[in-house]
Amino acid sequence: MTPSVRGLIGALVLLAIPLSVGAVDPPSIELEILGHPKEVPASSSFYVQVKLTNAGTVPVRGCTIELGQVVSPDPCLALGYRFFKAPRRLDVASVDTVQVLSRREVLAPGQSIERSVRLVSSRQSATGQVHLYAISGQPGALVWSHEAFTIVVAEASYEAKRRAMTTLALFAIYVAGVGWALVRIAKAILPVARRACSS
Amino acid sequence: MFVLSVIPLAWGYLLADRALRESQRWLRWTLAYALGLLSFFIGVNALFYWLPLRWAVHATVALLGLGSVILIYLPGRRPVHVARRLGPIEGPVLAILALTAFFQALFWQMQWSDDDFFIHAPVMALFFRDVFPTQNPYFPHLTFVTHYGRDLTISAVSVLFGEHFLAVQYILTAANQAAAVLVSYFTARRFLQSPAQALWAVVFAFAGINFDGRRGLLETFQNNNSFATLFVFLNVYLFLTALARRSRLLALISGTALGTFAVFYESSFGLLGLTFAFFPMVLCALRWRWRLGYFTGTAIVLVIAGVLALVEGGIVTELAKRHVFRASAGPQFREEERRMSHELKIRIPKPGFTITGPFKGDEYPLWSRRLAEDAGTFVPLLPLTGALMLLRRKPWGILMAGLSALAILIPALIDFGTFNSESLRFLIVGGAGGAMLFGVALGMLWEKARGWGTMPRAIVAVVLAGVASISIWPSARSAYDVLRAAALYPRDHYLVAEEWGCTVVLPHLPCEPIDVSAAIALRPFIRPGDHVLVDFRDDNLATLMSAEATFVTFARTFLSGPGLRIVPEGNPSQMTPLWDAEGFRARVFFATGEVSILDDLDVDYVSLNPANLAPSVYAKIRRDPRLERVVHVEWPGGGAVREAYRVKPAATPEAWTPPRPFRIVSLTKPPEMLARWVYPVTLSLTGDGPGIPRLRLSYEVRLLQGTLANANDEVRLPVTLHRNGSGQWTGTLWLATPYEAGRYEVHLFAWDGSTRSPLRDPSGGPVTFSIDVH
Repeated sequence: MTPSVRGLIGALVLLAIPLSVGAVDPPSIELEILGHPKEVPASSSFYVQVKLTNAGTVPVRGCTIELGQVVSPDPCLALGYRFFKAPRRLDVASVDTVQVLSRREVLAPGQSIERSVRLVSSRQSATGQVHLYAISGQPGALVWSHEAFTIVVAEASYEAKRRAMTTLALFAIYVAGVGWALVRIAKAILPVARRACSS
Repeated sequence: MFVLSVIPLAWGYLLADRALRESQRWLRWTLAYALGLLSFFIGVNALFYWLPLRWAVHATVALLGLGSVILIYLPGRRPVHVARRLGPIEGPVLAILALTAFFQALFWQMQWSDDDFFIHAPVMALFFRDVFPTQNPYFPHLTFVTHYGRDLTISAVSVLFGEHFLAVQYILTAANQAAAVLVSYFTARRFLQSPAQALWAVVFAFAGINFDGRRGLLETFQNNNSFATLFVFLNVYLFLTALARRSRLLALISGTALGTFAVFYESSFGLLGLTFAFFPMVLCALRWRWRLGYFTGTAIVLVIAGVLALVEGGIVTELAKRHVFRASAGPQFREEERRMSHELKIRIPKPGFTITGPFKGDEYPLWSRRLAEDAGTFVPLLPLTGALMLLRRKPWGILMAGLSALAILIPALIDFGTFNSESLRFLIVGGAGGAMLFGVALGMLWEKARGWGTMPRAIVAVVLAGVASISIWPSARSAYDVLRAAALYPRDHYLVAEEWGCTVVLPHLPCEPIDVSAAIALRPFIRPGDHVLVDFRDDNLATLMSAEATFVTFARTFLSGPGLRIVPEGNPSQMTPLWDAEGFRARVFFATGEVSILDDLDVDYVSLNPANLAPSVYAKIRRDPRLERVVHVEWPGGGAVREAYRVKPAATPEAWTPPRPFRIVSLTKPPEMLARWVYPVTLSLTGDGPGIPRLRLSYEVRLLQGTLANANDEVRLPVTLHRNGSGQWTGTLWLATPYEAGRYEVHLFAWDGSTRSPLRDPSGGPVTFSIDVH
């Protein structure tokens, strides 16, 4: 290998280093759960204290998520969660997401933040795990850090039950009205549905 | 109290029964609702100029009650109620359409409340503080000329229902939708003299057309739309009935209804007025017979409507004031402020004869495909269907054709300046009218085919069913989605607004249920005219505005802190943000805790989330003697806290160091700056002053061509100087960056008492530095 070829290879390697750093060294976010409630009502808001540490070498900002996709051009960070069953495939659309940083805030390498994040409990009552994910990186190269905690999702509050009953009662009125109208139309159109002449 | 709501309904019923002599039972009841609502609004609107809202409501109810008693005992001919049953198909189809219109609107609002919640909800809430005429909830120093009819009606009705105005909005909007179906159908049936044609017309208007982003009138109920739709059809009914009966009393009622409509939707009011003006001429020309009654009836309607519109308030009244009395927002107001004040400028004809696209702000000609996209597919057929109505001499069809044609032509003929992108208001009327006429044409074809043989009749039936299915499918799909969500997720549908605010269905708003609790806790402290600064932060402007609107709605107060954005040249689209929820001074306050900024912002209360603030800033706020904590809310189970502080006036005016001896030597700014953020800029100065100098500095941020980016939002804050050697000083200035990325120039000023002068460099020149904002 001539010195000029060696020099060329050396220059290519040097040029490739910054690229490979970006490609193989995605942000590494450590997630720690500092506190959470033991029991919450179904369909309610509650708070979980988390600590997020940027253990990687690149700074991250808050993610922009649109239609279940991370669309931020820069390395970014968001929190995802799911009740009871961990998603089979780790994609953003399969979890509920929470913004922990704005796009204008930066979590520098080595820096930590503590946040109280609002989650919304599941609709059904059960005891199980809440799977929490720190989602970081760029579209197509997201890194997921996972933590979980056990929670009892109790019955929904009186207000939630009252809401459900009111909505269902209104829905029943609609269905009954439309059903009545459809029967009337059927009677008008279908010969078999018409009453036989009494004479 | 809610029992009193029967009185406007009774008045409406008696008006329909005794004055209009309406014989159709279903129409009579629908008119009872529509006329009751309109009459109630007329009373409240008139009395609200002199009385508080609650008094105005009760006085109106009393007047309507008195009027009802008079109508009951008024001697006169009772109407003959002819029982005209609905046909075996038309009745059920109409029922399905009206029920769907009602419940689709109701369930959608129970989840999402409104499209433009950010403006309507705070305006409705401020009516309870007797803020009238309307004021902009975000920029109270600006006049706010708007069509407030819908908002005032809802607030006024809700006085009778425990002031639960969002729940009342949901019910009224849903009822308007169902009433619009019935009024439009029965009017069309009467004047077309064909139940089938009327049914086709109404089905196509409500379910068979796709406007830009909305599927038929069924899905066009948000904001003012349900009121606009109902009152357009009501006015058409009243006008045609007044002409047909040649009754002066009906003309009087019709004129009053039309004039009042101007406060609800001035664009549709103008359209109806113009259409009514041309209508008798067309009718007489068609019949080759001169009927003076048509002209006098129309003249009565238009004169009464015009006089009423000129005096009752709203945009038409304001326009008249400006042109007749030469009253103006004033030359001291900037273009951005004029736009926020809804100051309308009209120029005829519009150059280019083009329509401005509502969402892009671009121009397109009348023959563009875009017209069919924005106004619906039946608009290109309007010349044919309109000609058909003329040929068949169908007065209702001719009126609707005229209304639709004008609705399409006006946004191309009249230049509304920066409001050109509101063209959708006209195009929806044109599109719905075009769809109705197309429906009538199909109805005529169907009636014609009834006389044909079995095979041709079957072919026509299949074709009509096919056209109807294709047209109705998107509306049916959209209604199905809304109704399915109600059945599957009933807990996510809210009638109690306090439970709805910032909750499960709106997970990505930067506010949380605890913010609603804090707003409700703050409400008793607020006095009329108070301003609140709130601490919401988000990258998405629309969600941020919704969060702030939610807070001020529940606290029933004005917001402090938003900033005006630069209005772009040309026609801004509807999507162009005109203001930003995180103004320059608001951002600097939350970054520094500097209370003197609150004086400049005219803030009475500050609501904050301690977790959002730097610990040192929160500590500064807590120990500041001018800030008194009045609200402290903790979420049950912990994890979140909200606080609100009353801003007390300064006991003694703060003494500032005179800036004259100081010169800026250099300044250090951060290497990278992002839009809508706050950064410290280190200033190095020379000069001499006693003790620890405390300068009062301010800055303007301008685009390179000179346009001011922080109009009405000049940040003025103290900079404490630290000695850095003999005659050498350093200090930190907090710089709020503009709303958009770009290159800007920052001009620094120093304040000596109330005098502002440029801060100087050692050579005596003004200090200006440029920033690149990403």
